[in-house]
Amino acid sequence: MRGQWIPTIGGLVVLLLLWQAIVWWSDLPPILLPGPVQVATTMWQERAALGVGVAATCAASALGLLLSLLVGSIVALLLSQSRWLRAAIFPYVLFLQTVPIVAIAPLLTTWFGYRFRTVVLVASIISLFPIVSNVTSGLISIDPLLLDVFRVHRASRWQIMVKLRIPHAIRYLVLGLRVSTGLAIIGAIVGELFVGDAVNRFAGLGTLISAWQRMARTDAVMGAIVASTLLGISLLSIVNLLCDNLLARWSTAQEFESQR
Amino acid sequence: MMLSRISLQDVVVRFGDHPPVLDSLSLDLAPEKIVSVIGPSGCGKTTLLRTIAGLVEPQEGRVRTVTSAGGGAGLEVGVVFQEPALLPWRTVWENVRLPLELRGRGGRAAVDDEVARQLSAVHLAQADWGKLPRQLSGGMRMRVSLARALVTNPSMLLLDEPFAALDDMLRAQMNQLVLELWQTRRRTTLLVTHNLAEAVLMSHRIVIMVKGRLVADVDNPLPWPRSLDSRAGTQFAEVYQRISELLWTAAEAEVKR
Repeated sequence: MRGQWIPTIGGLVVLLLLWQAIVWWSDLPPILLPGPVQVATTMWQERAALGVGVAATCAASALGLLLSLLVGSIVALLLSQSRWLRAAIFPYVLFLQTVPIVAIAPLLTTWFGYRFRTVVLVASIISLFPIVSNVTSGLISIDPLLLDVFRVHRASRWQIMVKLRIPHAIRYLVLGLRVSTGLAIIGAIVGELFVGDAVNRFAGLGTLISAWQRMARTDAVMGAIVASTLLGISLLSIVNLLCDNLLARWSTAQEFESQR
Repeated sequence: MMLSRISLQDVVVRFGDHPPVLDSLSLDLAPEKIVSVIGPSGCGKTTLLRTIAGLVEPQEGRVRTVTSAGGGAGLEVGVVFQEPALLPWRTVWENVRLPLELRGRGGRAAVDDEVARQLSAVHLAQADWGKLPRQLSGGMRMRVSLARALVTNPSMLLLDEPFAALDDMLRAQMNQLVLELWQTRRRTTLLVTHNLAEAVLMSHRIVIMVKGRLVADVDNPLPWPRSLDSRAGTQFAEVYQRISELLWTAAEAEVKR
């Protein structure tokens, strides 16, 4: 796997050179398309603002993710209890998945104010669905033969839940968590776009993007986008690392190798 | 040792509107004997085993169990299914310990001793006890499954075509192992199989089942103690031949019915 880094880095270098070349030869105004060197320089100059932005967005998405992990697991546990409950609740959970987050973010700011908590909430709502749906299927899609093993030994419903269903669902939770991590960051940034610069202490990347865009600072906007991408990659790596180390025997890591 | 006798009286099991899978079936299983049930696929032999295990509730008739402790309730059965059915996130050790955990039984040391005893009995090397099922071969997984079935010290062992998925070599090894275990512990055993040679080698008595009914019941005169070598003698060939003919006659009679 180590050898694969070389073409990956190579691809990036070629892309950056190409971008810089287009900027040099095309005479486009920097406000339309700043070159990578200019973006990098601006990022360095704005390192203080970007640092706070990354920290704020990181905190919002991590808290949002934790919240959806907690709420999602509880909802999934409830849903797994009866088919009737699933019929009553699941369609509305699906609603969370289909409603565009951009459409409800303004509503949430109305209800919860131009506050950090609103950003956390947006991040949480958008990342909730993969956790609910994955954990629910993990809890109910048990091999009937394994259930028979428990029934032969007259296991109680509680024992089946704790020793069979929950450990079985952890594999599915890990898959859901990987999807949700990316979504939570999107949610946090969308939330910050709406919460705007009313919160100066906690100007997240979304807030910075909307503020700099109004000032026509395209290079700084691009810098913030680069920062949010790096944040996404780091958060995903941390989640993967945690899952691989804490949950390895449940998540049967090798089955996921092909999906990475 | 706890003796146990199981008797099924006019048991009917039906799933939905289909013809019954067990059709007023009566069968007595004597203690300390191995009985093989053979028959074509879909004849109901697995359902018979699941009924005895308490996994299927018969619509008519009843399953009576008698243990030496008196009373019929609470018969301990150990079941080995067609697949090992191990929990993939538990190590070999933890899988075998599961039935004891579910019963909340005994002190920790007693449980550990029992698990170790069963794992040694199925010839699993200590180095493998900490491995996860996915790190084991198919034959080893089946041994773990067998150890798990034995760990509660059941008075009856139910084997549902446990070696069907193994290759001939491994199958022979597992047959040897079950014979060895029976010869030391004399557990009442029901073996469901579609392999005639396996049935002849392993059992005291062979029952032939077709379409939910028992159509033949044969005592197996092959002498004990047995091992894989028992297959070489002429007596094995004779019994094999006789049961093979019975099976064919039964199958043909069913087709005409």
